[in-house]
Amino acid sequence: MLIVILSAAKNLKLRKILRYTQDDSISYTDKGNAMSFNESTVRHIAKLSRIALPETQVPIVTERLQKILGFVEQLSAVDTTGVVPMSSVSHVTLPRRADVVTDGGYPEAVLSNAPEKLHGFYVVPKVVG
Amino acid sequence: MAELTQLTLTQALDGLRHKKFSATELTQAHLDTIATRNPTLNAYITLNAEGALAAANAADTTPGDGKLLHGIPLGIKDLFCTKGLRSTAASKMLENFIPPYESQVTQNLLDHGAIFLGKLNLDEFAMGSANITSAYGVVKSPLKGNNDNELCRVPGGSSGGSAAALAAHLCLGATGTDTGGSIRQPAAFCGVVGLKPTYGRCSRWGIVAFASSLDQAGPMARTVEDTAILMQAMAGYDAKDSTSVNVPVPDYRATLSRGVRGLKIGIPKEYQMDGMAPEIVAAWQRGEQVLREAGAEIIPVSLPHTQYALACYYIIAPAEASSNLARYDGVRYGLRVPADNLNDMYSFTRAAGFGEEVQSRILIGTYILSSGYYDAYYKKAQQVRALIARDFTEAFQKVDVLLTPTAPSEAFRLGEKQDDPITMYLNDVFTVPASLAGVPALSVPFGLSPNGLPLGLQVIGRGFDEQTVLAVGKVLESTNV
Repeated sequence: MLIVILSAAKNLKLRKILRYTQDDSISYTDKGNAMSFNESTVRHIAKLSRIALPETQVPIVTERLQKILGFVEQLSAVDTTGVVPMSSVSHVTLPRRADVVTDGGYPEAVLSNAPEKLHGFYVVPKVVG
Repeated sequence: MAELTQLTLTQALDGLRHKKFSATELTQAHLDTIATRNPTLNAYITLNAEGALAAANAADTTPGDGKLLHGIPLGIKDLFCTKGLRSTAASKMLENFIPPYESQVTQNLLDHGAIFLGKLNLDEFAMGSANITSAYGVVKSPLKGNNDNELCRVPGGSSGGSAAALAAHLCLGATGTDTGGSIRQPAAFCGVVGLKPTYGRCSRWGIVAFASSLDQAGPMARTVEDTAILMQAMAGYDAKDSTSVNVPVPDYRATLSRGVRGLKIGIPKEYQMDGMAPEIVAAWQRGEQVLREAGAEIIPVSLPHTQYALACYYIIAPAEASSNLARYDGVRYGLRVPADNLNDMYSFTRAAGFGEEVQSRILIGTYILSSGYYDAYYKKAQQVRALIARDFTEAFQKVDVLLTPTAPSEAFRLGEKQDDPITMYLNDVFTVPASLAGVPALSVPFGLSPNGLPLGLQVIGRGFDEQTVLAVGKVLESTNV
């Protein structure tokens, strides 16, 4: 098996983002509504979620998720005109920290749980052709 | 020395201080009880017998000066990363994960001399209300109803292992985490005390993340005083958690017995819901009576958006979970299912590593955050959350705390409420609003159902006013029959 060794998780993240934009550019035309949520939606979100969902599970999962979406649909009854969305309960502004290295220098510990590693690097399947 | 497990944490501290027994004896007594009872209850996923005895020996040979928990054996919810001790989040995904670092809250407990007996079972990634979604098997409550022939009750969830272990005397105190009720509802089901602190009071650093704007670590114990001591050791500012709030931690034990005279206790009318068990309503009214007789003023209040809290929560929590759980990709740690290409490796790994409930929530969260749906679901839920939080702010201008039931029923049987996800979610109907508002809330045992199972009352307080919440809980506890 050919392997590509990535030196940092940052690179991996970047690659993932690139792949996502190539693969998943399907756009929705219908707006949020539990009725339009069907098996093809489930296949699509399973793909976005990177969860291999067996075809036999699709109808079961669809029904389950439809129930949940049907339940949360009740929020549309609340008048939220002009309400500022609340993203955090903390009223403090996020602190800034000095841009200095405060941690690190132990690659063995960082790699200690790696499913596959080689010469101080994580190993993943080939990602470039 | 099984009688040592019958002590409260406070009594054990006293016994250790007066050298009535050693930390080694205390720890061994708990390990023995675990060996007998855990095979049935399944409260612990991983035991730390050797480590615990080594720590007990160290506690016996060093002075405990100033340490709050010197020589006290605790159980740790398996959502906290513990250095060198397997931390699974009750998921197959982390079956072999051995953290190279210690979570800040457990580090605080270690610094105070606590001994870790092992890692307690929970719902997978803390997603559940009955401790039935763990990849390491269900937890059984050690409590039986009058007509139960065998152990058949759920301990609640997600901190079900913590609550069951306390009720069965498999530890003197435990850590829990609470995202929508995961400390309070299992505490109520198992007849123990659980405190969800104010968001920002305890560091989230090193706790496996579920929904970061809601997750909060907190103490669970058999008495309010034990809970206050644990809280003292766990709380505190941590620069490594950007949402940790830098305010002084008061002495919780000092104000514990100050009573409720002159306090204003709010009774939110919206918590009176259709289909509530009559024994829950009765316990709630009795709690009101007890506080009134102890000198508090009872004031009816309204939190008008309460009915939307659960729907709001089941948008925000899965949305944040889908983002947090994106990290489990089989690359740096955790399970990996090998495949020829990276994309298949991700998909196969995540399908094999996550259980049904976790997959469900990731899928819902992904849908909610996807292009075209974000405004309709996530933004809407954040707006409703602001309204729910405002309800609390307005109520706390009139009253000092709120009194409500913790859960809408007694502990139900294993296998019940599993036909439909919404039925299970309804368990959290009274606990979710305080989570969304970020305010502290305590569950304290209060009375029994006609089946002889414990019920819990919830005391909700102003942000960072855990002291008043604990003092009210102490009064309720003193009259609990």
